[in-house]
Amino acid sequence: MVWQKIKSKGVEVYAGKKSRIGPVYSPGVPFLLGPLLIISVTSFEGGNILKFPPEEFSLRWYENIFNVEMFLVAFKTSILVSLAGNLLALLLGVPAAYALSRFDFKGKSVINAFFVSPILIPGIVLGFAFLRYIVGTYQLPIYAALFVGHTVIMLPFIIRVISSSLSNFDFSIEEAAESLGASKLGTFFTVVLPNIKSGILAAVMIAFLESFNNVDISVYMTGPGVSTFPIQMLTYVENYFDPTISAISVLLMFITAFFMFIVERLMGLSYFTKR
Amino acid sequence: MVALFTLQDISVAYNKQNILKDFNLEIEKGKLVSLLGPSGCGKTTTLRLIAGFLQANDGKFLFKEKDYTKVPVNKRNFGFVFQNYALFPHLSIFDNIAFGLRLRKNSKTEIEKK
Repeated sequence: MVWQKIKSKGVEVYAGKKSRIGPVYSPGVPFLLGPLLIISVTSFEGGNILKFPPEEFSLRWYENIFNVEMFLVAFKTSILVSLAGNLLALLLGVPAAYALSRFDFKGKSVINAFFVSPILIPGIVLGFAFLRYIVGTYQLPIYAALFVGHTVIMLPFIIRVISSSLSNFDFSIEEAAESLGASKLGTFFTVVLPNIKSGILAAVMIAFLESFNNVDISVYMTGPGVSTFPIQMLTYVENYFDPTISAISVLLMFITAFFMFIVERLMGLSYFTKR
Repeated sequence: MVALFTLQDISVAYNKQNILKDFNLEIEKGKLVSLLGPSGCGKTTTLRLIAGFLQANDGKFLFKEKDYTKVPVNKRNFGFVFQNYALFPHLSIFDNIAFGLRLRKNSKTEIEKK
């Protein structure tokens, strides 16, 4: 909406008129959605080769996902790593976001930048650094390395989303609770946490998606016999050319869309474009 | 008469700027005291200091002749009225009122009565 100044009977009023920017970005929509649409259509191919347009309709490749054992094992690994990493990232991220939002202290902006840095550094570089130190120097087992790596990539999302939630929190109610006799820790659990729970839930979902879909870190961390779901998809594409990958992609798109819908309902996606 | 509240040589500074410097105040029991002054002179700071929301850089705060300088907010048992009401948005009206009473371990019937 663009606001335009109009003079009416000597009084200046502002009237809204529709933005003309729509036609400028609308050609970009098919450019963005086109590939997703093609993938979705190819997932219903009845033949053995991935092709567009499909020659016959079938749901057999959706069924095939559950028959390929390496997908099921990799799916469990991804879920386990994402959930465990999410839990640790929450335990570290909630107090960090609270401290960064609540207090003013020396070096605050440096700490803030430090926590957000995993988003700014290219994943492939971060992955190589993890390979060098977590796997090379400390020789952690594969699961532990994945756990540490995924916690690091989830932490900035947890801190950023919860900080956004805390920016709307009125800290005077925290003081009110303390003046009524609540301890600092009690106030945090009975007043602060219930008021930012939608932000925490949104942070958990976004971080989970980021971890679950991650390729660039996981590709360095996985090893013999242990693989995450996206890495397993890559391996599968290298060896097979059937539409199973299209079917998986459609399912992942739906899962991601479902999660983002919940995040939108909880906080609104505008939170991630602010600040 | 012995003062109920005593602020002794209180100094408070934010970012190296003095808000209160060697401030002294005595309030006797039953007296109604108003703090008047221009914006930024330290009225709110004085109230927040008495309530325990902030600590003085220097000086002492006495309540009934006992040193309360380091006593935390939740142990002071002082009431504080916030400018923006400071209601708990996640609680009902009943639970807002009952919040402090529950912390003081009042029974359910007592809370409902009050």
